[in-house]
Amino acid sequence: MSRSNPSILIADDDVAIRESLARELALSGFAPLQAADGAEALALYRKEHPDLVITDLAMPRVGGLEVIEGVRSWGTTPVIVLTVRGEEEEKVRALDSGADDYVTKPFSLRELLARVRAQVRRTGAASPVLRFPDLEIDTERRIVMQGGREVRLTPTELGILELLARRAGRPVTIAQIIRGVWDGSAQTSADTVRVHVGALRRKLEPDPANPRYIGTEPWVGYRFLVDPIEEPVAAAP
Amino acid sequence: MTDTATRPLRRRVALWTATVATLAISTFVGRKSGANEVTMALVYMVLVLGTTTVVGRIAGAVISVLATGCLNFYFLAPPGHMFVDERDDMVALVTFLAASTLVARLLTRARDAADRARARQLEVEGLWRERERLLAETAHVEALRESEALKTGLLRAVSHDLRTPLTALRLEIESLERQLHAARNGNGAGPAIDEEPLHTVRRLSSEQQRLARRIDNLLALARLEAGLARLHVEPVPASWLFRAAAESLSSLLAERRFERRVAADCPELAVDPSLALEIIVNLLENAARAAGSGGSIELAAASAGEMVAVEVRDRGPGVPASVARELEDDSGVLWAPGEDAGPRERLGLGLQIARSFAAAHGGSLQLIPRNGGGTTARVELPAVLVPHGSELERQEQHA
Repeated sequence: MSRSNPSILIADDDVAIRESLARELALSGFAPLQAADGAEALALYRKEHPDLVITDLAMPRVGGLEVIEGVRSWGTTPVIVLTVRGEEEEKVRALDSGADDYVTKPFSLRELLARVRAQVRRTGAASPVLRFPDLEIDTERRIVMQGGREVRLTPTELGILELLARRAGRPVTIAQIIRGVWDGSAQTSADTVRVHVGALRRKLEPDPANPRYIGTEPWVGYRFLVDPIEEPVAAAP
Repeated sequence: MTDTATRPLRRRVALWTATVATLAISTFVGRKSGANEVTMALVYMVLVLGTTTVVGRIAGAVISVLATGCLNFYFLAPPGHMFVDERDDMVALVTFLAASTLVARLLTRARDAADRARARQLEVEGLWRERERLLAETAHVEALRESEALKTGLLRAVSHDLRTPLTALRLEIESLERQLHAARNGNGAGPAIDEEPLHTVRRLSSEQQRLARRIDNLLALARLEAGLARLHVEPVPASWLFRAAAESLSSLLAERRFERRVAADCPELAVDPSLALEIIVNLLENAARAAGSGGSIELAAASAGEMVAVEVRDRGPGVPASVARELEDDSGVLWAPGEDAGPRERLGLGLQIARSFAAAHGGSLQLIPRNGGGTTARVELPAVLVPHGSELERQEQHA
């Protein structure tokens, strides 16, 4: 689909938030759709097939989790959830159910827009070379260059780095890392993942105590903090 | 019969001795007074019954045999011999023995039955008491759980109801900010707009954030008081704490000089991420307000033995000694509603929460005056330790 303005479905039972978001998203070049609760959201989703869904988690009757499950049963449309401070378990549950990212109320528009762009961005999945500011990851030749020097990584470390970098700007749960890098081997524990990420940070980051690339997301996992350098050639439609 | 085996040895010996003595005495008295065999048979019978009752079945049986022997020896012809002349006397002896044994047996059985009945009754009473106790406990646990569910539900509802308008408020303020910036920069042709609206909207944004912080603090306090602040500990890097704290206070920090330093060897903290964040945000907010517009704040994290020491430093007017002292004193209550508002009230609530959350982790909080003015708020929290020789350490080395 080659719509000039990607469409975004906003599901929130609070009309003030809904309308404010719709207005600002429209100004940022998106085509917003509004739903007041989960049931309306799913009906609208099935009818309009938006490019992205933003949903509040606490809605009456049909809530955010059901929206996520509904969307997931249809396809891979990115879903961003709106959570509240103090409801961390709810957030993790949403991510485990298939949500792609979250923002915590009260959130800033800038933050939400960054997350939306990260989800809507074409990742160029076929590209073997991932380019970021001061960082180049050649997944084919297995060479990583940071700040002009080569960084020697073990296969596991490179696997983790690639997984995070391909999903730059989006949170990656520890479970997803285990599935992606260890093929879901049951013996791998969260602690093992943390140890490997720690080693990766020490090798890759110019200042491991203040990471520039690999950020921790408490309760959730990790997030690659920098945006890829946009390819001059347009991605495949 | 009550189990003679459980009675202490001394008592058993005493009883047996008494029984045998009674037999001897009654035999002696009988002989002396010239009682005939019928009388003695009855006396001995009573003795056997008494012995069975008081001492036990075995004792009763033994006395029964001994009494038969005494009866034969002393009271049946010929005296002083163990054999019997008359056939009737033989029958009498045998009958005596049989009768005393039988009666002792019956007595024993009756007593046993009574004992079992009593034991069963005690058991039932015990079981009943146990049931009452368990029911009470279950009811108590249920009540606690319900009360907790209620409190959690209430807190969640309040949190949602407060944060929803706050979210809308923030979005509208940002929208206004954007519009004003656009108006100022957009049309190069027209006259530049007044700076005034921009200042106003920045103040709006700052107040909105202050309101959000107050709500966060009050909800945190409510959670603490309701006993719902449970720790979910995981490894948290100090860098994340600093970044998240700065984001929470972006408006406030925009007009302060702000430096962060995490020492290279600083381990990750073993803390509950949301509680630890509350601590840092509260300390940072206090420091930012103390520093004033244009003031400078430093955030530093470094290893301190088995803990991580996080310091928030400002060059503000400093904290009154009384407040610093109260912070050290465990039982001190720093926030008293109704006292006149002002620096003391602001310091009070945020510090109280920071201290409680630090203590919940087994850590501590101190306010230290700085040379040259200002304050260092130093909080120590547990570090993630990798024990020597552990699997993790080995993996780290091979990674």
